[in-house]
Amino acid sequence: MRSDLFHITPSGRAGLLFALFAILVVPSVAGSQWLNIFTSTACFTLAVAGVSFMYSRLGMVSLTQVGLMGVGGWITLRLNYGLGLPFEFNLIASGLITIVFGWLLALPALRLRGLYLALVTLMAAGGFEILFATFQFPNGGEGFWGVQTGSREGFNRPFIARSDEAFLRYTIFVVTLGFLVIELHRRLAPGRAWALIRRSEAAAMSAGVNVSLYKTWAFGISGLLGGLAGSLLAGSLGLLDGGTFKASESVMIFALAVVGGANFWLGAVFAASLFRILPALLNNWGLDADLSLIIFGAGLLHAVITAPDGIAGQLMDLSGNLYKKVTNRGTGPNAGPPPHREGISNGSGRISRAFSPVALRLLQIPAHLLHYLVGTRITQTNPDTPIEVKDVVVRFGGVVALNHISATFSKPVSGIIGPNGAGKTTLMNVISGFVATSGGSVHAGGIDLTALASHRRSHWGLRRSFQKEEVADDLNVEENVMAQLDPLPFSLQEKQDEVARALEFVGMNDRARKPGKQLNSFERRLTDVAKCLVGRPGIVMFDEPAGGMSVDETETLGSLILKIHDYCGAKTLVIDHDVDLIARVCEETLVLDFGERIAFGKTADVLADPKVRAAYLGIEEDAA
Amino acid sequence: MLNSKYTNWILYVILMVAAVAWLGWGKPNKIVGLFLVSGLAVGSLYALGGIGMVVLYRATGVLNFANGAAGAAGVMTAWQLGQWGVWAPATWCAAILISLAISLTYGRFLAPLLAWREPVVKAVATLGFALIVLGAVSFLWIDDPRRFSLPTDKIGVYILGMRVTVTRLIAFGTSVGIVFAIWLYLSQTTVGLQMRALANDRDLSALIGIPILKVETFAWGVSGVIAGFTGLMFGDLIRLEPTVITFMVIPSIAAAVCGRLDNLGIVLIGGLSMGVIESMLTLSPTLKGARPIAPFVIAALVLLWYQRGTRLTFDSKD
Amino acid sequence: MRRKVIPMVILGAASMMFASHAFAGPNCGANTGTAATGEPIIVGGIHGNAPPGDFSASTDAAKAYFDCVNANGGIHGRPIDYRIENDQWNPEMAAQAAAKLVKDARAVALVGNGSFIEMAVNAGTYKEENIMAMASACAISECFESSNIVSTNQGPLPSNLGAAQYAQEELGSTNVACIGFNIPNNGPWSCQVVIDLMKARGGDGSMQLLNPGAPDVNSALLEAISTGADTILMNLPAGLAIAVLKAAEEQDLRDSYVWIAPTPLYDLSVPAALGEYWNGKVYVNAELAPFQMGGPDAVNWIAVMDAYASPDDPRDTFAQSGYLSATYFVKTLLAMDPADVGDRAKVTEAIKGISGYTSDLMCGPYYVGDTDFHMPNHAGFMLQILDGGFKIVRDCYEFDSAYFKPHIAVETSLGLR
Repeated sequence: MRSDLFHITPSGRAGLLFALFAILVVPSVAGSQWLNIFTSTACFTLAVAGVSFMYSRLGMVSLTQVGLMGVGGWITLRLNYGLGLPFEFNLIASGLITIVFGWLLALPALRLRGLYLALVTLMAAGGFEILFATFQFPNGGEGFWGVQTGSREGFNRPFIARSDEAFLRYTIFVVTLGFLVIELHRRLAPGRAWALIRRSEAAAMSAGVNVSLYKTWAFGISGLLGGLAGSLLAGSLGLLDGGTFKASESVMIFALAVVGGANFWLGAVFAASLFRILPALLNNWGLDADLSLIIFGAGLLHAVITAPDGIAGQLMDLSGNLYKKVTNRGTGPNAGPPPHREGISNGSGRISRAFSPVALRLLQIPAHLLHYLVGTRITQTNPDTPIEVKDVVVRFGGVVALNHISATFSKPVSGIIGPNGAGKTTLMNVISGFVATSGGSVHAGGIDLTALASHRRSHWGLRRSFQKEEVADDLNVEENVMAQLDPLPFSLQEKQDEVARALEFVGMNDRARKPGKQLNSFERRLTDVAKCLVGRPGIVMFDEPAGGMSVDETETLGSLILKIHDYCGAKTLVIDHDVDLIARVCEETLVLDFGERIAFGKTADVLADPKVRAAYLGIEEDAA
Repeated sequence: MLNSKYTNWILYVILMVAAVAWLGWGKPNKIVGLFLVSGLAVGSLYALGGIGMVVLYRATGVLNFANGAAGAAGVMTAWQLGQWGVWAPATWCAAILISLAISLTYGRFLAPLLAWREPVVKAVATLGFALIVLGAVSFLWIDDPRRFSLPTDKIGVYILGMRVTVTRLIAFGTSVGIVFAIWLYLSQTTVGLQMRALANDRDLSALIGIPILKVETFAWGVSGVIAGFTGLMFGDLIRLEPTVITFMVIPSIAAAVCGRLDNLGIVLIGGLSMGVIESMLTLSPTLKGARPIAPFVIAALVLLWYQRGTRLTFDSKD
Repeated sequence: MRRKVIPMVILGAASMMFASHAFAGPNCGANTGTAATGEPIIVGGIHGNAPPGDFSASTDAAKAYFDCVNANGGIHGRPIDYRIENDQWNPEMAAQAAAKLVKDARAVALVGNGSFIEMAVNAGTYKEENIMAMASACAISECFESSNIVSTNQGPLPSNLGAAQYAQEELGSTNVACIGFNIPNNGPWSCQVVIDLMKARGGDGSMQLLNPGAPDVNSALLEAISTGADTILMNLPAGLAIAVLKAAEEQDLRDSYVWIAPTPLYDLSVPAALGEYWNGKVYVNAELAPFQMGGPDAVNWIAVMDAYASPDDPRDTFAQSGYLSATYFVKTLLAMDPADVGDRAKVTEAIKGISGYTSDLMCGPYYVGDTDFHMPNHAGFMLQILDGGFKIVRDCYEFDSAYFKPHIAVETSLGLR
């Protein structure tokens, strides 16, 4: 059976064929000027890929890429002229050291999101621009900075790629390797973690993803690609100049990544072509290369407003439609899957099963190492102990959202109800670790949960869903559930079995390969439930699971919730406005109102309590 | 709350005095004075750029990267009209009108298409617009060394024995004046109240019947005028070069970040401090080369200071 | 190049026809008066035109001269196909330009190059491809310290030296602040010799480096002042040097310092641009003969420019230099066997053999020679900006530096001294 880890999608095949064509044919037919242009383009393709995947996979805007390229180029030149090391070594060293710079850049990303993060990366780009302009590139001089004030010796290109033609081939080869690095990540645990982070950091944390780690890792990969690109550019020219690595160029690269189609490999090729080939063409035609800025800008606006997948996305749609037409007429039912939205964009890759134990084991080593380092070995000690919420206080500014709430949930399924703004979700967020408390604790299984970071609570066995179904669009059902298991120290076989079992339990096993973006809201909800059931959970929390569901769907959900304790031994907490659902599934219920606990006990008793009826059901009893 | 506010200010004053004293130690007063004046002028430009962005961001949620490009288009127009012999004050008005028009074009026709997207997407879209404007300006005015000067360059005032041109005084005075005027406007007028409401909660403001389009258009207009004025000053004081003026938004953003994209007073003080520190760094033999990096380092430190003791959490909206 | 050249050429040609009745027309190449029609000889030229500076004056002038040659019999009846590329101060563009001209178009030589970046990127390529670049507006060390580039202009190093030497000897300078670009093989390279000269003569010096991407001249000026200098040397393109002087004017710093500049400030439009404030206060070194000297080449240069160049093209030292490189190139080709002028190797050999060409525009003789360094022009004039023009305050003088020792040795061996 063929593994999907190494499965080549039709568009992947097209991409590899394109790379092969670029390696074999282009250098032999291009003129010398165009060889230079293509080499620059190939270098920038790699740099763009670093920005593209950050934007499309994690939703993070990085405006420092060209600065990171400069770092890679600087290191290569320094090693070449200072120590006379061979190019291969310089290339790898540049890539690795630039990873560290990427990590440094990630530091603010741990505390910042969205616009602020983009602004910080833009300022970092401005900083790099100034550093390069001040300290210059070590183009063959003396001293640490190696700036050259006299004539310099030649640059050592790799011995297999001394000529311009060979160097172009070499560059394309490295670029292809760079793409494969991203693709490999995408198909393994980091890809699933990134997809969750992009969807929602809260959902990612509650799935046990160490958000800081994976964001940092992504910045590192982006840095690696930028560093390699800069190193190759240095190899192509033999010297570099600060003018190439201005902040404005980083901004341009990002803009073009979006225009080209950040979701696709080909998008990066389009972006780099626009960046380097278009101005050269305009020059050759005797037109002002500044015109290309107008084209870039209009393209960016168009992409942002109407075509989020950029040029590559539109081409894929077009070719997908054509392909469909052709295959419908021609080969019939035996035709392969349509290439539409494949390649880098969709999560069609299946989780590897029995293939190539050696290769797969090797790939698992870094993952295991990572898990060892970040410690995912906490397992719950005694699942049958109750969940004890003690004296929890939460303040938002001057507002007291939870005022000394205590409750001990010991039944298999318990409910939390209350009017809007009562503090139900806040309590759940306290248990998940998303909200800082001003006092109090949550104990379960003999452990103080409040002492753990959010993702550690998930490793321990805490599961939750959100009011909105948090299913990553980029992953299929199976992968979404798998993401929950990625951080846990089970064998691959165990994980796969558990995913299959959970999907069968919720009744989604027939749709295991359906991409997240094609699911309806009930399917999403069921996927959420399946996610909560894998990895030996101790506590499962549902926040308004029946919100927006039909009566039938709520019925099904209720039955599932009732079976959870038997299925995996976890205790379940349910928030919902649907009193019928609460009455049906919850043995015990906590009632909150304006941050105060107004009742806790057997559900039937609680619902009959006059205070509850007054506060929640809106029935004002006479204060007799 | 109040206490920590005072602590921040005291800390700021101590740090500024220490930095200026350290850098200026042992230099003649006249030299230190020259650097201070030059720094305040550059700082005023950072602040002006930042203020224009923050005014717009508060009212519309759009961080406009095209502000610099609008300013560049304005000042290039003024230069061109000057070359054609148009009466100088008319060229300045034309500069401001051009930036106003560019800003309003985006605000009225393009920004509404993205009204409900995340702030980062809105900001990215303005990048596209900035590139279009920059491309058009660079196409119309090919690279050539040009100079743009205002008659106020020739008029100087002697302050403590140094000649300070009136242009520098105008840049400084305007940045302070604009902050004060906007503060007054926001607190005294209906549109100001509506702008504050919009900054506070867009959805709610729409529900209670605030004329969002009108208020937003007004904000785009104000930021366009500020951009035009900043462009004129930048073209005169630093350099008349479209690309440079367009990307002056980057240090301006540093100033805006100091005020958390919200507090105009801090944007002003942050911008001025950045300018002064950057200029004073020239006196340090080791740091002078990398002095333009000062705004970014300062903004990073300020961000860290704001973030101290917090961790990434989610409020109940998330 | 983005200027509208074609209508200007027609205009120029028309004015030439008109002019030819009134004055002696330009004298170009074989001067036959009939247009060349043979197989074109491809010659390239690379200039840098982007912010912060425009170095296209030299290729403009070379183009004007080649047009004139083509209208006057060409090279043994073959016209010169002069192809100009712009490196936009960008190393990638510079490499592409050289690849296009040298490898794709197989140019026989490059003439009139003027750039801050091109020579550093392409010096190796020229050597490998065995092609000579007869540059005209060189600004960086590679231009003067490599085997296949020879420049008619001096570059900033000698010109700075000349200006500082004059200021030290005549204007009482003791401490020179050299404001230059932070381009290692330009600013630091050419400012360092000034500091060395001043120190050798008991004074002092310093350098203030500007970021070429975002030059903040006011800070650099203040930095220069804070070093305690008494003389400010503006080692910058004309536009930025004017900006430095404007900033100084704004702060009324004129009378506290001596203001000197290397050759880029020698442009006839500069005195007017600076205005009355600077009258008599700025001293400029000129690498080539000032325009009022009026020797035969000086007159012919203006005639060629008027007839074949756009009125917008600058008439500055770099234009003179471009013209001069082009005349030397044409003279060399005309002296070759007509069968060899399309052969790059033969042309390179002939150029390397140039020795003892003289012109009233240059103080010393022009030569190339087969060496790893070339700087035939290292003597100049000193000028003072006065009454809307330039006054010659010192005629042809040699600059005092150990840097020129190897050059003088070569000149001695060629019998030029």
